[in-house]
Amino acid sequence: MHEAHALEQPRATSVTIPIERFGTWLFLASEVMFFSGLIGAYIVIRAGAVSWPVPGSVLNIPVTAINTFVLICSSVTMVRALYSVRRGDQRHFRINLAATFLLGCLFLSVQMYEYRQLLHEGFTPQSSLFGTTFYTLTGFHGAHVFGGVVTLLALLIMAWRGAFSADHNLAVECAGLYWHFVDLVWILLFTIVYLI
Amino acid sequence: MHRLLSTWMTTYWRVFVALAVLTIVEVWIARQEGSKVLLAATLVAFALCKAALVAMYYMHLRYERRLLWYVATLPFVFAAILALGLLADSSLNANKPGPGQIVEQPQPSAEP
Repeated sequence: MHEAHALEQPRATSVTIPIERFGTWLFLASEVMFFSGLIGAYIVIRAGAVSWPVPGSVLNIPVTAINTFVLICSSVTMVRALYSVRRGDQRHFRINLAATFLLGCLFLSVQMYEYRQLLHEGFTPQSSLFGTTFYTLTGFHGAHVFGGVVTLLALLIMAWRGAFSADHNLAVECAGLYWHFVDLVWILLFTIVYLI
Repeated sequence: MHRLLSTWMTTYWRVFVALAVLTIVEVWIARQEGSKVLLAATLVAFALCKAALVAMYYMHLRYERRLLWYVATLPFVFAAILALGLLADSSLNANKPGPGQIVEQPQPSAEP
């Protein structure tokens, strides 16, 4: 594991943490608070509500489970992209980055499809408290995924122009941190909103 | 070198398989009948395990310096304080009408 660590942290001899990485973690810390507030509000509203529908009776769990799997797959391709660029393998770096971008687009497409179905069935943000909290939580997460997809597209264009190398890839690492965070939040939302 | 690279990637594939399996098990558990509290607690435990796997391995927190550990864990302390505050607030207001509840007002007496 120590050998793997050495591979993963090429700047391990440096005493300081790169400011970009530290800044990204600070940003993610603020995002944790943001989603904690939303999830906290959801739990309090649900606990205080007179009646609450069984999520499975309203939402399409199998489709969302597959969508969760899509986001997990995108985390793997993001890890592989970082691994490839650090190894100097530009071809696999671009392929994996493009795969992450496409999987992000697929996730958003499935979410749009789900919203369309639910709205068609009369499950709107105004229809019930469940509807309000559901669209707020998943909508904000979807906005974060959209932000990640735009970032990935920018990285992809930069990668095609040869902006990254084995020694210069901090932007890829920071974008990867954000993307994994979006995945992490969805893992929690999927359980709290869809399964419980 | 090749062996080291293989080891490095193998870890990520193992985490991926673990995440996929845990997701399938979660969906299966959610369909089971039983105590709602027990089911919810189990599902939350599974979700926290998955989130920890992503943070530790995909976000490389396992290999990071202590300072980043503090940055990463501090918001969870604040989130816990927020959760405790919300729980205290909701338990204090347990007898008051919740969101969406219709409160029946006492009818005014017709007699003067």
